[in-house]
Order: sequence, then C-alpha cells, then structure tokens
Amino acid sequence: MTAPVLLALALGAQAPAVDLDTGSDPEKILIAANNRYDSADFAGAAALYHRLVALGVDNGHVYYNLGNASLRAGQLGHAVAAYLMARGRMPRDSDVRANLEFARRATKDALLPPAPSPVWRTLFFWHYSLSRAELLWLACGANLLLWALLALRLVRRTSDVLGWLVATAAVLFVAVGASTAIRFVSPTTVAVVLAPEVDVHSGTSHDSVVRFKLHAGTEAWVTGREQGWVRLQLPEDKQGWVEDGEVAVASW
Amino acid sequence: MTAMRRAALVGCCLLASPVVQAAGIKASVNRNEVAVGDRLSLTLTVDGRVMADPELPDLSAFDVYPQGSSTQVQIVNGRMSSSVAHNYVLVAKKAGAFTIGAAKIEIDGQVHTSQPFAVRVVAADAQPSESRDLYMTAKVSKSEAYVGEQLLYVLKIFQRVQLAQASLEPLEFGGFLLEELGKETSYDATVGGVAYRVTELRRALFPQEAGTLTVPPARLTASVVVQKRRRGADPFDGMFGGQLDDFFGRAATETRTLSTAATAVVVKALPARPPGFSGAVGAFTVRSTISNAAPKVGESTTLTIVVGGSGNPQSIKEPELALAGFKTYDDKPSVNIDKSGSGLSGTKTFTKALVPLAPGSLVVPAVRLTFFNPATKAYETAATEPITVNVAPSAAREELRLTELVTPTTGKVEVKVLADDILPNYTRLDALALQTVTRSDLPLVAAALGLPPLGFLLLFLSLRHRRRLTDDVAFRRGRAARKRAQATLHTARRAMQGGDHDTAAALASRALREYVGDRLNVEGTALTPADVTRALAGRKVPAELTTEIRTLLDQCEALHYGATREPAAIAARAIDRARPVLEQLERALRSS
Repeated sequence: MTAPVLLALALGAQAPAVDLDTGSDPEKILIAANNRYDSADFAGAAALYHRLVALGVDNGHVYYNLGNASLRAGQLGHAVAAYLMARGRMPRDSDVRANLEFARRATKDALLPPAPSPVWRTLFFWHYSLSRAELLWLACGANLLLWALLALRLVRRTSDVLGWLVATAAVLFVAVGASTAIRFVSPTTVAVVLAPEVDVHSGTSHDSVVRFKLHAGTEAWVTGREQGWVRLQLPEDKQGWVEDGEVAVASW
Repeated sequence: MTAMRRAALVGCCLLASPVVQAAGIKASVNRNEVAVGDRLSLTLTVDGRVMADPELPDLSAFDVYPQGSSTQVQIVNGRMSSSVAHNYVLVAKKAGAFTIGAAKIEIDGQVHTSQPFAVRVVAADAQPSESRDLYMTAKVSKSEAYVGEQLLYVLKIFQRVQLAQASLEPLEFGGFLLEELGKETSYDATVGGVAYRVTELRRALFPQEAGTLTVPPARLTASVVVQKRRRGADPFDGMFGGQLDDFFGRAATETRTLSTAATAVVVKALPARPPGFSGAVGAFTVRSTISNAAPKVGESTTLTIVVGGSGNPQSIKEPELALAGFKTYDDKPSVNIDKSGSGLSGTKTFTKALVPLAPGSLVVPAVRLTFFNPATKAYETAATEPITVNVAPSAAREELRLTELVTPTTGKVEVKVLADDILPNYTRLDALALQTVTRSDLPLVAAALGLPPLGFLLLFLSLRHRRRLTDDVAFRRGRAARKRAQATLHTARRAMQGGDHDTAAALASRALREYVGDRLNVEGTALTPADVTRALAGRKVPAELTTEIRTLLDQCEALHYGATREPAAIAARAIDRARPVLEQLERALRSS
C-alpha cells in the first residue's frame, strides 16, 4: 500500500461526513472543493480533497489545499500531516513551507519537529531539496549523460576535458543515484498526532504505562509498527507507542 | 601626348611619391590619401643591422597597430648590405591634412631622421567609392537626449570583397542600458552607384545618467580574400568563377582593421518629477479590463492592466490603485517586448485577482500612468476610465476568517496575531497532475537506466571489432578466409564448365591452400600439400579430414603436371569435395 493511500485512510477515518455528490471526475471534485473552501465550508472542502487523494491524485498542491482546509476547520494534526505530504512532493515550494510553519506554531508541545541536522542538509542538499520523483528523473538523466560521455570517450580517447567530464558525471550519478535509492528503499516516515491529546504508552497495549502525553499537530519519527501500534521517537530519547488511529503517518 | 606634358606628369608623380630616402632611415606609406577609418601601411626601413626600434613621430591622428619587422639582406656586386623594415598599420581617426613627422633612430651615436611627408585624410563619404571595398559606419539616432530616452544605434558594414573571417570587438556602452534589437541583418544596397553587401546591427540605448556620454568607436578586424592574378588570361577563371583559386593556392587573405568614429551624446536630466511619476520615458498608453463586471461576493474576477508603447517596457512600475472593498491577489506581471521595429517597444501586463467583500456597486478607480515624453519634452499622464463592478450577494455568506494563533504555553498570555494568516489555496487545475512515479512510468525508468549502458556495450564491441579488423592482420584474414575461398571455388566451377580442367583443379587447390593460409596467417599459395598437412596437424583437425585435404591437393597437383589419365573426373571431384571439406575445416578450426 502506498504512502498517500495510507495517509488518506488515516485522515479519512476522522473526516466529517458531508454530502459529496460530485461524481468521480477529479476536475469537478477539485473545483467543488475550492468553491467550498471559498464559501468557508472547510470541513466539506477537506473531505473533497481527501476524495481526490483516495482517487489517486498524488499532487503536492492537493495536499497543500487539504492542509489549508483542515487548518481552517480546526484540525491541526490533519493539517500538519497534509502539509508534510505536500512538502515531500514540492520541497522548494515557499507557500507550503510558510503554512507548515504557521501550523507548527499553533501546536501545543514545545518539541522541535523531526528534521535532519543543518550540516547534513548542507552537505547533501540535493537529497533534501528534491522530491522523490525529481531525484529519480535526475538519476536517469545523469545515467544517460554518464554513458553518453563514456561512449564519446571511447571515440576520443585522448581528450582530457572529456575525462574530467566523465568523472563529474560519474560523481553526479553516484550522488543522485544513492539519494534516489535511499528515498525509495527507506523513505522518511513521520507520525503526526491527530487527537487533541494522546497517551504514549511504553508498550503495545493500553495496560502498559503511559510515559507521556502528546497533543495535536506534534510530529515524531516513526521507528516501528506492530499490531495496530506505531512506535514514536522524539528528541532526548523519548519514545513510546501510540495507537494507529491516533496519528497520521506521512511518508515521502 | 607631347614630350613636355609627359615630362610634367612624371615630375608630378615623383613629387607625389611618398617614398623619401634619408641617411640611415627612410619612411614610406602605401597611400597618401585615405578615408576616415581606412588603413594605411607605414614602413620605416633602417639600413644596417640595427636591432633597436626607431622612435615614431607624432601619430595622434591615427590609431597605430605595430605589425612586426622584417630583415632584408642584399648582395650587389659582391657587397653585402642589410636593412630592417618596421611595419605599422595606421587607421585614420579624423579628416584633415596631416604631416607624418620625422622618425628617428640612433646609429653608432649619430641620430638619423626620415623626411616628413603629408597624408590627406578625407571624410569616409568623400572618398571615391572604388577605393572603398570595405568600410563601416555607426550612427546614433540623436546627439541630445534625456535620461532614460531611447536612442537607436545602427552599425553598418559595407563590403564588396569576400571576407574569410571577421570579428567585431564587443560593443561596450558605459553609461547606457543596452538592449539588442534582434540579430544582425544582411541586405544589398547601392551607395554612389556601387553595389555593396551591407550587414546591419541595431541596438537600443537608454542613457542612465546626465552629462556628456560617449558612444565608443566600433572596431572590426577582417581577413579580406585577395586574388593573386596570374600573368595573362586564365581560361579557367571564366569557367569556374575563380573557385579554383583556393585549390591552386592563388587566393590569399589580408588583415584589415576598421573602426568608426566615437560619438558624443549630450544627456539631459529629466525636469522636476511630478508626484506619481512611473519612471517610464517614452510614449505610452494604458488600458484596463475586468473579466467579470458582475461577480458575486467572494467570487474572483480578474483586473488586467496593459501598459504599452515605445520605450523600455521593463522600466514601467505597476500603477498604484486604491481598491476599496476588494481583497486583491497580485499575479506576476508579464512583459512582451517587440524588438523587430526601429526601436524597442512592447507591453507590460499587470494582472490582479479581485474578490469583492460586500454586495453593491464598487468602483475600480482609473489607472493613471505618468511618464516623460521626450518628443513633447513634458510629463504626460495616460489614464483609463473607472470601471464599475456590480457585486451580487453570495449564496453562502462569506466569512473572512483569520486563523487565530494561540501561544502554546498554557496559563500565560494568549496572543492573537490578527495580521498573520495562512497563504491562500492553489486553485489551478494542474494540481491534478501526478507528481510521483507510478507503475506506468516503470518501463520508461527501466529504459532510461538500462539502455545507455547497453548502447555503450554495443558501441564498445563494435569499435573493438573494427579496431581488430584494422590492426590484427591474422584476424582480418581469418574473417575473410571463407569468403575468399568460396569466390575462388566459384571461379574454378566456371573454368570447369568451360572445359578447362587444369585451371579448375588448380583453382580448387588454390582455394584450399589459401583458406588454410588465411586461417593460419601464412602465405597460402606458397604452401605445398605437405606444408598444409603439417600446419593442420597442430590444430586439432581430425586426421581423416587432413588426409582428405592432402589427397585432394595431391590429385590436383598430379593433374597439373599431367600425371593423371582422368583429368575431368579429378577436377570435378576436387571442386565437389572442396566446399564440404572447407566447411568441416572451418568447424574444426573454430572449435580449436
């Protein structure tokens, strides 16, 4: 099951029931959702954006609009999760970043959201500033370039410039290819708390000790999933288990 | 012509001759009348082996380009003399009569000077057209302008000679904003009855500061193809239009440097700026339209403001508009520039989405654009008519809600940031485009990742094979062995059909021996049957096959020397057996 569908199910489970008589034409659903948003029916708009996601429309703008509608409807956790999904698809979009920051400011827990260190972000900038699809197509392009240059090198063996170009293309291919592989094999997975307050248990049952409580919109790394429970990792080695339905798991 | 007139003419020619002999140094020019921008060759010839450079006279009226020096040694009546010629190219900068002063050089402690002489520089247009086969002009449309006013700079290169190469130094206009007006154009034009090929470059210049600005001279270095004529008429010239010149080495090139005169432009500051001045200089119009003049509350309508005219559209700032009763969303302005005409013109379009907040009659005020018109030397204002928008009530009541931000620390102060809000929704339909990799993309991804290395491998193998064919004689011979043997056998069969049994048998034998020779990289025709047997012995060829080959070769040899009674039968058998034997041999050699 792909990440967007997982999220859609998680979010859809708590979406309010509204009349969604808009057929299954994505264009009509999008226009209807935008109209509902404009007429301040934010819950209805969010439900229609959910439907678009469930229909397989995997686009950062739809998640962004879903985040806006959820935030206006007072569903902070849903909004943060949707913005995270939007950021995964459009990592350089300033609107998404601004609204995500806005939503994060409204969260209750004084915890820093999961993020790689600035050093890593600087060293491997392409890994964090490109979406998964962009990385894949860039890897394909680098592969094509590398082999084309190698083929040219076969014909012109004595060219030093060509040698340097081949080395550069090889470095580019290895860098982008490794990033792509990491993003596909081990995508970043973050859980966002949906309910106003959730108990974080020490084990995968309600009988286990409640270690601490988290509030709507708080984000945490997901380090495991087991029998309907999600294992969360927070800064300062805080970790514990929450029930699946209490968090939305966003992955990109 | 009488003798006296002839003598007078010769005298005049001598007087006009620019070559003047001086003790130790002499100066000469190739022409003593040139046009502005034309080239003049000055040669200073110093007698004796003096390596020092002569001191040049005042040549401020010319641009001087040293062209190096050459040494000449002469032996006349057993006496050797040498001289050094220093060559310079002078490009005349302005018209007038100039004296090339005396060049000086010190030889053995004694200063020698050349004789001064006069050179006349005429205006570029005044020179007889036949002496100008290549020249260049540059014109600026105005000598006086305002800051920001558009000036047209036109550079024309006139040529009626063939150019092998030409390079124009990059034009640098300090103090001007430069806009290219399309690419250079070429056309034919007639100047003073002489046909020229004209290449024209156009640039729009916008002076950025007041004062006297200089449009610098343009410089062109060109290699002109000159024809070295043979003595006498050449019958091929007429036939091939001189195209054989290059082939027979009769065409040569000569480097020429052209330059135009610098032009001064007096730039005046704009008069006192009125309030609301947009910064635009030129002649502009403005119009505004609205996509829906009767929207409902909360429904978006688009206001489009188009500013256009002659001048630099990029310099136009957005006209200020006080839009009461609307929520506005600005779009990125778009600029449409027309560079094809006689100057820069175009439009700049500003688009805003207006969302009316309350029902009733709202007014989009007149859009006013104040600009400076250099033609009238005054500020002018272009304005549109106000647009009335009749807003109908919305079906659902519009609530302009600002999301409240509550500080997370409980029990402390609640802060309401009313001016902060989330950014608006994305409403374009391209939000439905997929941004992930789906299953349908997988074949494309696989092809993009797999095909390049495959292509590389194929190219590598192909190149290696080709290189082996070129470098490895044994490989090449081995590859061609079978084909060659079959061709020889074919010839043998035809000889057989013609009744020439001897030749047929000889060819069959040759086919076998050549094949063995090619495969083993030895001279096949020189192999005897015994050699062939020996050669095949070390190659894992079955003994019965070697024996059969040996028998065939022996029989062919016997037939050749007349030692057999049935030549036809032997030749026929040799030809019939040669093909299967070759095929068996091929298999055997391949497996070894």
